[in-house]
Amino acid sequence: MARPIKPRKLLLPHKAISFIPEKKDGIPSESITLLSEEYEVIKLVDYENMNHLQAAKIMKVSRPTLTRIYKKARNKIAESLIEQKTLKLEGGNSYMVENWYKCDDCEAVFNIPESFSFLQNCPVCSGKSIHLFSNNNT
Amino acid sequence: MIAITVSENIKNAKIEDCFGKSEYFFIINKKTKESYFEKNPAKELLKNSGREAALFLIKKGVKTVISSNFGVPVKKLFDKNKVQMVMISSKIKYLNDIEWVNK
Repeated sequence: MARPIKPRKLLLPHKAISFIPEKKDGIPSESITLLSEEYEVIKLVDYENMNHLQAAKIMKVSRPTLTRIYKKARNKIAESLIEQKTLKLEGGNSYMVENWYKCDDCEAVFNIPESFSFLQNCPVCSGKSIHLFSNNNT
Repeated sequence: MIAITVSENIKNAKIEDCFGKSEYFFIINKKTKESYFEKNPAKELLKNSGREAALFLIKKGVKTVISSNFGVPVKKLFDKNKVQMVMISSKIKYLNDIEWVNK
């Protein structure tokens, strides 16, 4: 039996977004799912210009595992561009290092450092309806 | 003290997407209602602009930062200094979309 995949560590939450190609015929395109850990690798390596080893340390995976996730993510993005498929950011096998919260009213996502009162309102709209945020279930 | 990343030093400025490359910071003390704009001294840096901007705000005594995105070095610094990070949604685009900014 194959060894179960260890969850990958994420430092910051990401917003659940879809990238939809603009098509003249308006026909909805097929979609590809980019997992939370694949998004995180693209962010660390291509956006923050980290090398694979630095990114692997942050995500608590081995360097070869990170390279594998990165290659998969790049292939999915390329497929989305070339074949004009919708790219959906959802799912994945990951966890965040700390709790993040989401306001139901303005949809702001925030952390609560130790020195802050836990039962605070939303820092943006002062809304009281706040829930624990997770990348897999926004 | 709260800092918000903005594109201009006016009340209806757009909230910037990138923390380190933000043009200005709108800084407000919600208790005293005192507020002002500060130019981001790290904006033109080719490297470490996020880190330098974070250090600038920490020195000013900012305890909450509102932006669209934060990078890993910025998060590490803010965690160490117990600064709260707030990532706004696309529902809020301008500074004056935040109610308490105008009070």
